[in-house]
Amino acid sequence: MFGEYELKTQFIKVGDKKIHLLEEKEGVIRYRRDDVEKLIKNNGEKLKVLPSPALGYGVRLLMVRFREPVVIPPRDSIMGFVEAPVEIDVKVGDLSVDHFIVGKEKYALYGTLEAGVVCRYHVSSFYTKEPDAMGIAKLIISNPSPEWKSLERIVVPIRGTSMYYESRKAYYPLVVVTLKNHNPEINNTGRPPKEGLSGVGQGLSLPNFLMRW
Amino acid sequence: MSTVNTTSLWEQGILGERVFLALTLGAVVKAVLVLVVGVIMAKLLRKYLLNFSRSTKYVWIVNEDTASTLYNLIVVIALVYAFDALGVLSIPVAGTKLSNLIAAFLVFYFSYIFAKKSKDYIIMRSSKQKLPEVQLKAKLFYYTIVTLAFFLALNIAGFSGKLSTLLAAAGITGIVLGFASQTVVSNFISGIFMYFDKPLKIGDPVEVAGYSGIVHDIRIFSTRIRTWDGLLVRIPNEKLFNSDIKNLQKYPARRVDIIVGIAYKEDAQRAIDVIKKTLEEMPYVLAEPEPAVFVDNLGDNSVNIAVRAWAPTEKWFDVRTQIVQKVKEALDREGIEIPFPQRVNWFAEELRVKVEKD
Repeated sequence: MFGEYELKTQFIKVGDKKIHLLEEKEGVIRYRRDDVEKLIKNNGEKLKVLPSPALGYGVRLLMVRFREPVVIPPRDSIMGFVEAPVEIDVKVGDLSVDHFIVGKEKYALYGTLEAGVVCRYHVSSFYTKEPDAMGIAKLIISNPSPEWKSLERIVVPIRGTSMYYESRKAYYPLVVVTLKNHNPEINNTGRPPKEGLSGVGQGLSLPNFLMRW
Repeated sequence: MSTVNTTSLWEQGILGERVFLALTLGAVVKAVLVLVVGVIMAKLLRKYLLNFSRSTKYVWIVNEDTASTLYNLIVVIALVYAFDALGVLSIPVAGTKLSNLIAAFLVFYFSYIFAKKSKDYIIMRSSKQKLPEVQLKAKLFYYTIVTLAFFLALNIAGFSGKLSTLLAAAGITGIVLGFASQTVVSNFISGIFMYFDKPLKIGDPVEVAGYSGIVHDIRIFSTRIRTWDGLLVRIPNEKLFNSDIKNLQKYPARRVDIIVGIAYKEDAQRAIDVIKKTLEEMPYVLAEPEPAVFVDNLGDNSVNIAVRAWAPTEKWFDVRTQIVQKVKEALDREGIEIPFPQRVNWFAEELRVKVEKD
């Protein structure tokens, strides 16, 4: 699914979408996906199918609501995974030839009606082992406070984030959630969640995000 | 900011040649150098702060905003020093020196930034229960700092002694202008108030003074609106200021309200479930706040179900146009009848029907 493909006649299945490459005369390849159609001149370069953060129509945050809230003891932490939506970027060289959304697209308002922000929305269980999903985010939830804390959702900044992938799965960078005072603090570290993954982007962390609401 | 000790250095040899009036080449070179060094320092500091913001726990103060503010501060200071090198700052303006005016502006601007950031921080740190009270206190704090900074800036600018004179002059000028061009001044003043009030900005979809459209331009005397059917409407700022303004895109989310009527024989709960499922499948119907679907009233011909769904403001029109069609299609698929209006007529006298045979 993710990776590089030769520009020759073939089908590439990406989630619930199909990319169709069709060789035509003079080394020209017809690229087809749903209603999108492009002609690509083949010069030996490969077509790259890469994961991209789920920005949808142009949001900058991803909200993942846990099916079951996670409760953390004082001065303790837990590591786990959530399913997360991803989008697909199809590139030749550095040029993006197609961008599309796979799976369910949904949004939610984070914050108040007057001062909130619309973000991408997903509901997921909190898994202690890596789930079998196309998009995954690894979390470390830490509670340095002297009180028990409960967490029912996270809001992660994703605009400009790096992404990581292996053949069948896409990963957001490691996300560290620190529960202190009133507001959880979210750190998209930019680091790969595990070894052996290919990366898209510079691997830089994003500015910390304070969940005010 | 004095250049007494360095003047001789910058005016030796070729640097001492005059390029324009009393301006020497040395002064120009010095000004450019100061500006370039200032910009480089500003960029380095911004880069450092942005990197630091990724690891610090003090995100509320070390963030992109602060980095940009400090960047602007350093660039402005470099500009002031550059002007100083050119000898421009000693120019008298309105009975005071230009340097005093710039210093006053800087004091006011950065006090304003400080007050704004402090206000945001106070609000951010408060718990939900105390939020309204804390918001009020934070705003009071903000306005106090800004007012003090204003008077301090006036003092630095050297206007404090002349304030009463200025006010009196402004009053007299106001009366003269008021009689001479009441409407123009009124529009101008309204424009200034509108700037601070910010009920709308360019690009906002609005309904105002009986017109509906996109704000195309905001000028000193008037505001221009492009109506939905492509007409230009020029509204004087005074009229705009006194009108009820409905800004359709001020908040991040907007609600779509529709009423769906189903036949009395249908199961209302089943219809509600079908509508909820349809909304769930529409990407731009927000999951939070959750859509509300309920029996609103028992109408003349149908059981009326109210659908209230929130959408991102910029997608409101798309959702509004799709939601009715999708709900209709879903109810059709499930075999739930949307009835025509029905009427039972009673006649005072018995109707007689005459049947003719061929």
